[in-house]
Amino acid sequence: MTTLTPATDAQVATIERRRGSHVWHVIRRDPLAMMSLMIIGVFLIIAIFAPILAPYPEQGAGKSSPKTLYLPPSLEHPFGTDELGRDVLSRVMYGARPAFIVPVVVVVIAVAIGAPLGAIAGYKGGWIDEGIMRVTDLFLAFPSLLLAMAITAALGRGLENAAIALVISWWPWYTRLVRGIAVGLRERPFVEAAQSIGVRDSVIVFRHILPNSISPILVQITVDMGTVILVAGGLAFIGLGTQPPDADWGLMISTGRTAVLNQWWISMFPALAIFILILAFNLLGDVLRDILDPRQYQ
Amino acid sequence: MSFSANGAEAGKRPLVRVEDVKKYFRLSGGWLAGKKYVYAVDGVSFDVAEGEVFGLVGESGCGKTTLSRLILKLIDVTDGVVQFEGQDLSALKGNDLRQLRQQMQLVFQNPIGSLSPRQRVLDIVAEPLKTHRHMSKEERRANVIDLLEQVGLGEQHLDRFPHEMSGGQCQRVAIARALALEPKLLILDEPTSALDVSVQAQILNLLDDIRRRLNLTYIFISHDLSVVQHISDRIGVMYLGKLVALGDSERIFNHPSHPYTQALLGSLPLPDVSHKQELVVLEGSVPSPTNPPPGCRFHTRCPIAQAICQEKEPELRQIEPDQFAACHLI
Repeated sequence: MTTLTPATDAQVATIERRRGSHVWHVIRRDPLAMMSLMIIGVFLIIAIFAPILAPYPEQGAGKSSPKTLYLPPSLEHPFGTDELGRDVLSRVMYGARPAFIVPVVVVVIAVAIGAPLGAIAGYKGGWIDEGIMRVTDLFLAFPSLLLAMAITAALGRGLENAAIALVISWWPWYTRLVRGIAVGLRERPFVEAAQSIGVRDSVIVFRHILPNSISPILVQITVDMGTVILVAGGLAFIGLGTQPPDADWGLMISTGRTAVLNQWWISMFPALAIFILILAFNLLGDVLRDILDPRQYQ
Repeated sequence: MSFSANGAEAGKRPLVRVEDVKKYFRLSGGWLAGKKYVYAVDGVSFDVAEGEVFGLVGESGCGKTTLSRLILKLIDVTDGVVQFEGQDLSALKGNDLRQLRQQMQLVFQNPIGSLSPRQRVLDIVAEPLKTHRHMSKEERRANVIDLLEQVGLGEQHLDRFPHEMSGGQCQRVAIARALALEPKLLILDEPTSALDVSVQAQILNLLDDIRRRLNLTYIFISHDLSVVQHISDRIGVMYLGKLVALGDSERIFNHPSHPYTQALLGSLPLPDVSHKQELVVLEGSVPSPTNPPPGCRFHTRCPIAQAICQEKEPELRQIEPDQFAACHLI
């Protein structure tokens, strides 16, 4: 028997590097993706270091300033001041905190609940599949915002309750997504191989089905980050999410909307922040989809 | 050496016994379409003796892969019995089934597809050990390296992902995984057909080598008669869910009696010009297993078909000391 010539260590190392940095490599050469990543990075830094970076940290946190009501943008207040005299730039910076925390918490919990359920449904099939999917259908029958509104209204206003409501209305999307992938994976030879070895179904789901569903989940997470920011902002806008005096972009747009013709800056800048951040997440999601999908759905 | 219709060589007990096994897949055409079935395997019987290599040949769609899944009980039989070491598989469930699966392992046609793209070789080969053996991480690693060396790979492959290796290397990894639990039976489902010709020979030699060393029993499935003949002791030929010929490998190859076997051989490029043989060329394609032809299933393409072939289904019967065929006309 002839043995195959093993690859040299140098070759192996090259392959390793290539694989590990494949995604990063493509993103780095894609100006749109790089820009999105940088925007998200800047917003994240602002959110984390808001108390240090904000020119008026106390006002950002909610302290009113009766002497500076409704000032238009100037050097002192680049984004102007709001109806309580607070510096809008500082408020927007503080508002980046819930804008990041809520989507991250919501999406992480939604994936943690939704993905395993979808994997089980898709892999097991039969009545387990039927059972799980009919329940998700029940949740999916309502528009996410409407369902989140109803649940927040029932639980009571506030950021935490809004987050819980968003989780409840978001996990079924991941169940459905992962189920679709799992149905395809179930037929793949490596899953059949695991079955023929005698691996338990529960182990197959977590060792084979879920790890091989990661790419589409990652894409969905990126896109959902933007959507959750929007819906959380919407909840805050109608007064169900973040409560004053905490800063929140949706809340700021809401309080500034009555004065939008005269004091446009109060609503304009938080709206711009939402717009830019969601755009960045969506663009990044698109790029990730292009990188990760062709191989996943081959 | 005597054969029985259902039998291996006398004196050796059968490791696997397949008795009149049937598998029909229900076609889901909605309630308007009515009940339709795919007759994937329709009454197949044979024995495989311990230490034997049993080749299973047929065109794609003839049911050979389904049959292999039935033997492993990856799918349930519609009717009939599969026995492993005298134990009826249909009665087994849960833990007992998992225990028994250690005894029989499967190697797939698509070597890269049979390995999870997100696992490294170490984890792939260690999976059966994690599932069935209690051993420390170090022991497992040593065991995996040992298995890799048995199939001509080595420690340097441990951290590779499947897509970083060639098809032949992936197939070696798959074989190492199949050997991990020291099974008695290996079902090889077209293990070489996705590989380059030169690599095919390497893998075949490796399989032959392993079998001799570990005294394994093989069920070797292929559409390529020359590959099967190279490695098998006995050959079964399948056509549309039926076993149409069964017998000693040399006999089937040199003196094929069933017209379908002759046709399969006729399509083989033979290196020996003096090897005189009437060339039978099959016309048309395999009929749909949803609606198999009545009588002998092969009559629609058979060059020597008579009236009786359309009416009566031929039984598999002995026509020589070591050859069986299902045909009215021989």
